[in-house]
Amino acid sequence: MEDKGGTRAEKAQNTRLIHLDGQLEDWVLETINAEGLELTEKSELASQSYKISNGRLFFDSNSSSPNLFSSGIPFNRNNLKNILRFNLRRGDINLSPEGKIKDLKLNLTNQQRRLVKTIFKKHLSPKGLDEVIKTGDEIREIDDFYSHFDSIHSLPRSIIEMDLFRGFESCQVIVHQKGKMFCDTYYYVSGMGDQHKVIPVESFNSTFSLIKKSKSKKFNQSKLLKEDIGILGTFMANVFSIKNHDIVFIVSQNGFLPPTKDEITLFDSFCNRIGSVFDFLLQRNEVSEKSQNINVLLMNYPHPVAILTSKDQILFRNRLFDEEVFYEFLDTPDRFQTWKLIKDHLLVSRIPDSTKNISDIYHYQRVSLLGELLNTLQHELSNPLFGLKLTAELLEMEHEDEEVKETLSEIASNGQRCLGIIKNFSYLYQDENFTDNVEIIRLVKETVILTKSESRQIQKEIIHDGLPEDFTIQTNPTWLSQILFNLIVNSSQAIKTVTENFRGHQIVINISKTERDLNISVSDSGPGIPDSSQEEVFNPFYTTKDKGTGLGLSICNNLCLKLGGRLNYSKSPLGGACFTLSIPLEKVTHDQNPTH
Amino acid sequence: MIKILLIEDEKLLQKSLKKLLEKRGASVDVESSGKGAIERIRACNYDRIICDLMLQDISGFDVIEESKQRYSIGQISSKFIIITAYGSPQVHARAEEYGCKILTKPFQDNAQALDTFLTIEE
Repeated sequence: MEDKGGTRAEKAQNTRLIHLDGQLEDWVLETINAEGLELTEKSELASQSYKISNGRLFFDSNSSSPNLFSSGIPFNRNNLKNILRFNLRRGDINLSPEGKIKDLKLNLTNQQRRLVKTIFKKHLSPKGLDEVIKTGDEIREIDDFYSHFDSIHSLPRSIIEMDLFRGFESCQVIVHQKGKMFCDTYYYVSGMGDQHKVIPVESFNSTFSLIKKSKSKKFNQSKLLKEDIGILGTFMANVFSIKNHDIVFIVSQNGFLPPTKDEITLFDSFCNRIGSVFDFLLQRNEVSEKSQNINVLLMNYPHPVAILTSKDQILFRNRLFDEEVFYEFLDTPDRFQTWKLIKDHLLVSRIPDSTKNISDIYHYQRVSLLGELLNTLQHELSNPLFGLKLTAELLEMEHEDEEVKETLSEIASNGQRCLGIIKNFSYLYQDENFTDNVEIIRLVKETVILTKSESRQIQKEIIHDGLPEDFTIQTNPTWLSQILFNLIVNSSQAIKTVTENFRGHQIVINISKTERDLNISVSDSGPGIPDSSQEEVFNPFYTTKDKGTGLGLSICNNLCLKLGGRLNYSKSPLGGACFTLSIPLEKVTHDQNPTH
Repeated sequence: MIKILLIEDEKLLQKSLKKLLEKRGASVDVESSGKGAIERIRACNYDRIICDLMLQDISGFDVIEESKQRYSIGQISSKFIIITAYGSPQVHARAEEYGCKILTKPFQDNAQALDTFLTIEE
């Protein structure tokens, strides 16, 4: 029975009622203790009733309301534990007298901490969400009549099981949501259980209009010989049109005698009342579908989301909203975004780390800007440089004075060097999808030169045992060079963190091939990566540098995948880190390319 | 004597190439702007036109387009040699449409480049 004082929702927030079988008493106490709670007082109402409390009342046992936990579930040893837990985790508990977990963080007892841990460890609580969404929609109070029916699925059964329909064998409810191509038919025959089928709307329409036109509402199968009507013999039927739904409602004794006058009167009066039940159940059905959809959405939302009560109790959380995130929220609410829901509930989500995307975009913008810049420079610089070089060479040939000749030769060779640098740069910044037959060893050498400003003074060695100098593979030279560039710069910077004297330190680049892959490893004699962080190295924003963005390796890893290869970390025999890049010797096709 | 028009806006390069070509016995007119080049092509018959692509006013391809008024497509492909510092695949593709030779600056081998400029196929 409902407590008439206060709304249902208020009551639900303040108390939980359980009805205990005497035999379960010990076991319940055990469970309650295990959850870190106390059973402080016995209710005066009945010897088998309890209030379970933790500083303030939250479970009250009262013999008249055995099913407040969840409707219709009988208590037994097996499910009581779950029911208890369900209520605990749903946040119906208050962990401190003030009800603030916030205050609690500092003075949680170990037991309470354990409890919070259990809540987080074991349970996600979609049901908590249902509660919020359901109460958000206006659902009318259930009176006695409504309480017979709990879902549209079981409605036919509930009707046949009513005293009113004693002697009737089967019942069918066909529901068409306006605008849909299919209808749901819910069907029950005594002894055969609930059935649900989906039928096309055409079949529904003809049945609907036939029943609508009939005055007597008496039918037999000869009139409605349709497979979709699972009724035998004569039957009574009526139709309903409510808001978005059309409904056909059929009951039958599965006999061939026509219904008596009394039965028709009964059916008519029942129809007057059942219409609003359809409305109610369908509405509830919609709410539950809606809540399911929202649930799926929030569960899979790629950022931590939770619904909290005004007292920071968790009604719902998705997988990403773990204990750590929760404490982070309590400590630094600024990092979170909140939306007010009904009843002062809060939807909380950590603000997505926008810096990640921004710096990714920033990086690619920079790369493409660099590409454009280099193309322009290639023309704007190489043309005049070529002129300089050619003129100097020409003048050198014409001049007699040795000193002038030497100077001119110097000018010409400097021009040549500049031209070479520009050419190499522009080769390294080709279009996105540009692939070429790349001379690997030359590319590695050029890339090493490009890292000069970072790797100066550190001894670098390129080993390519068993690979000819002009070994080529089909690949994207820009990406390959960028990966190597990042790796070499990383190695150099790592070495610089431990010493200012680079003598004795080295970076070794080893190029080798297996049957299918080309492997290029960059290993250094730096400090290496701590064992504890090895799994994180490729994560964006993982960095060991003071000023690093933590994007370098993550970008390398991505580019590697784009090349159809992979990047692995291992410990270097030189003592530091070793990153090995493996790319297939055969050019990967587009399909295998994970970026497309 | 081979009569050459050299269209190149980089003055040092223009001078040097002119000198080198003349040393090999060609007569060389030089021009820095595309419009000036078009005037010269209208006024004078050249055996060879060496044309830079990125000129200050118009592109080398524009010069070639204009030359169609005087020369047949076949003549264009044999007379014109494109020189460019910006050897993108698009540029190469376009040069191929005209059937012209294309050399990227800086030349890999100067002597070889001069040979190319001075060889006139009939």
